[in-house]
Amino acid sequence: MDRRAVAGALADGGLVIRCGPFTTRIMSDLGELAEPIRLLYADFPLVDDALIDFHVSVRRCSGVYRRLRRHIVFLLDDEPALTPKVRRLALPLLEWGANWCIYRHAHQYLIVHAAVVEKKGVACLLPGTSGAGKSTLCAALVSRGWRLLSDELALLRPDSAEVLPAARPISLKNRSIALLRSFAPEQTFGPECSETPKGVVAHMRPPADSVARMDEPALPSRIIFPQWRQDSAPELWPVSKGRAFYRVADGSINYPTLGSDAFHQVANLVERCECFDFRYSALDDAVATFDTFV
Amino acid sequence: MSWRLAEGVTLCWRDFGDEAAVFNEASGRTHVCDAFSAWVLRAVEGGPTTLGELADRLVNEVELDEADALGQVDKALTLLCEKELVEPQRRHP
Repeated sequence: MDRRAVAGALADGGLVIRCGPFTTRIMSDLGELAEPIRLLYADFPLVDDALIDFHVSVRRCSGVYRRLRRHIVFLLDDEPALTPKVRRLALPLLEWGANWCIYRHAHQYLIVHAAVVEKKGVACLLPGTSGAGKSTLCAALVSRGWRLLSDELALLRPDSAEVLPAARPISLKNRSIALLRSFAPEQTFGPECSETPKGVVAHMRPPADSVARMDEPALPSRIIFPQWRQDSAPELWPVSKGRAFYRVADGSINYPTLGSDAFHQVANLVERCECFDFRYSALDDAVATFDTFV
Repeated sequence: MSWRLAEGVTLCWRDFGDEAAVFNEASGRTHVCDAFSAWVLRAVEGGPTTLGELADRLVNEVELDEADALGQVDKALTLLCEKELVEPQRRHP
């Protein structure tokens, strides 16, 4: 679809995109959203008459928010879901809102704040808090042949340790944007949005192959806790299962909601995985370390 | 004075060699314990027991003098009590 067709769909009836297990209808009266959506979701299947999981929209504030005329709001089922933001943050707001829909409503899965990548059947879960460097590492890996399953929210099936793919645009922040532009100039990047609550944010389009394989789950065999540190040689060292358990459970968004089911799910995952801390600086070195796993 | 599981506590266990994860269904909280704390908690889970009985079992299972065993068990019980997993069971007159 070209920009005009995307803008038309957003304004009239919505653009229905399937991303892994979720189908989302996106509506918007903001013409400027059309181009970044076209750019970043170019490889995603558009769906007609689908069973839709999330009806979302990004709109100018109205109703109770009409005093915030320069602001926009993210709505789920026509109900405001996140704090209104200034209009230039339309794309980040849409992406944050899409994440919000998942972590508030997808409790059929254990949701872990983690990136997930896979190559030749070897899947790695990369849990990490914001700023740890997981999205940067994830973007570097998928630019060098690893498959993207998630850069932010890993979805674990309740009946197995499998991770379901939910590849979406990878959110990069601050220095990692220039780093990735230089490391993988062939990749497609969305616009940079400055002065967000997270600093400067830009998104990288997920690889077409990862999108095409959105129905192929993966079984992680490694849990790697990444930590970017300037001028650090790549260093990988084992983490005890107990400590890994604690960190994964702590990084799970709906662990308290799922209770003992989540306990057993995290335990099953940790039992079957080798667990490591990984400190890195140069992306080439980091990718080379991961390539030794396959 | 003997020790028992805190009222209402039901535990799910998962062992990871030198560590164990335990889920308290009553509170929804998860704890990761070292092997010794897990041993003490499992012993209390088995039924009310005193500090002296636990120390005796420890002395019989590993080479440790009685004073050390008492000290270590006491420390573990205090910690488990702070986590609201065990509680003292006082005898009623």
